[in-house]
Amino acid sequence: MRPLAITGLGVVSAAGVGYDRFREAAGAAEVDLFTAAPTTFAHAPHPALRVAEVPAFDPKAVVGDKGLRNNDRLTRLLLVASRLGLAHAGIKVDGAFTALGADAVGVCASTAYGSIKGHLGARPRRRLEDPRYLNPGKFPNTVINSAAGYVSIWDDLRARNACLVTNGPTGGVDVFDCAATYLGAGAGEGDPRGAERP
Amino acid sequence: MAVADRPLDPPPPLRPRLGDPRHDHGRGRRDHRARRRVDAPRPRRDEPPRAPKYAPYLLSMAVARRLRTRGQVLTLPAACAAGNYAIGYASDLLRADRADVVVTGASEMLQEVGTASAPRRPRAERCQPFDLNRPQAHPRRRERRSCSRPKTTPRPAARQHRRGRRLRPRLRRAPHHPPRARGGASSAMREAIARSGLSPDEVDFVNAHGTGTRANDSVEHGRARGLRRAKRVPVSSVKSMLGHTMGASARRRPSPASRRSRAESARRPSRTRPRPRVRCVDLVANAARSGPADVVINNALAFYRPATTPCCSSLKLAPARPR
Repeated sequence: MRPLAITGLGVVSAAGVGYDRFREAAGAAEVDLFTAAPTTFAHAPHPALRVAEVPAFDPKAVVGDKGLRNNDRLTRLLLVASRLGLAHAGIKVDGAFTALGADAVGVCASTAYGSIKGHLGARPRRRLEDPRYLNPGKFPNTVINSAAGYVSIWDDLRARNACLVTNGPTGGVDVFDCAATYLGAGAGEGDPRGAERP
Repeated sequence: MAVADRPLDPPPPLRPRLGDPRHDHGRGRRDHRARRRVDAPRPRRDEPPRAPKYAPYLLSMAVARRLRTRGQVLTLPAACAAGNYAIGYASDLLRADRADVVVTGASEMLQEVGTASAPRRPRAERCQPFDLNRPQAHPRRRERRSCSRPKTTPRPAARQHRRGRRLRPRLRRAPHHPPRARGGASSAMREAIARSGLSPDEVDFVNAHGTGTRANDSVEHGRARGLRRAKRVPVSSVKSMLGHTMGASARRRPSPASRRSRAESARRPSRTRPRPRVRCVDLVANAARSGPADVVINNALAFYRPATTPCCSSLKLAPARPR
């Protein structure tokens, strides 16, 4: 199997947004990633919990304002991370593909449950009333692979799109395995066997 | 069953598990728990939402443990196209020489179906793909007039309260993008045929996605034209029989690659009205049609957009080579 190479990083973590923040946090002697007053959920009933969240997360600054209204937080996080990763690798800079074409760039993402908020928000109405009364703009958030799908749509990535459901911590490793399978099967540019591109 | 269908060694038996009616000496604990779940009260309106109890990846892990496999174990959720996605990834594993035998499939267990299951829908709302006579194929008069007025909640809530009506939101219809969806679907079909080394004229049958909606019919018509065949290819969708499931709808269709279907050599029909009015496609309606079904395209759509989708997966199922 041909070895893989990581050419770019788009990091959205509790250390901050962007590769520079991540590098600073990784090189620091001591970093406090936890916050005492999270904004994403009510922390008061569970004061003993240690919470880490992305500080000052503003997806509009990276991906723009249009179309973000119906996207859930998971989708926004993945959109920003993928956009930063593409730019860091030099594949797509300022909305234009520079190194590879759109047909040669795919998405492999990993999640454990998808969007919990989207799933829980749609479930009571679907069970108690008619499913036709679900909001069609937010119903795609209930599907586990919706975040990976939105990344392909927003960044116009037309190669394979895969979202793995894993047990969480190993998901970041499983996506590399999935990407290696796709590249080995010829689903990308630079295939050693000269297979057709997807 | 999949392992038994192929001439492979059967998996070794596992240790007896507590609660399994085959191993608990007749105590039937599992049956008792199942009956209690069925008799559970229906959820109330003020009941807080609960997270899913089991993660979706547990099913594939359980299958891998049962078969004692040593290779990759992955779960690929893709909504209605999950079955096709799983088969496509299995083919990529084989193409990449990363596996010799891959067990693949789809499941409905953990997706909590309930959107449009066929037995639960009224007769007038059942899925009837490609039938222009079905009730939902024609836009209602109210929708036609709605071009000149807003489509969301025209009556104030207080007026509905005075009339004693139950308040229900009336949502705007989802926008759809048929041209882009048709283009993506057609290109997926052409890619599946090209990767199989065949020509479009060799396709015997198209198993359509067939949700029975106007948008889906439009996309499927475009796909049939995009195949660029000399003759019209027979099309049907068993979704009219089985309902629209979320996880395994692409895999619940009868596989022409299985031995039984090849022996029958029949194209499975779509349930429509006695005299369906069909346009553009050669619909196999209401009764199976005899004929070759060696090369079949199995289409599935998954929504990555609020309504119809620019992404689809097509799958060609050809006869298995002799081992």
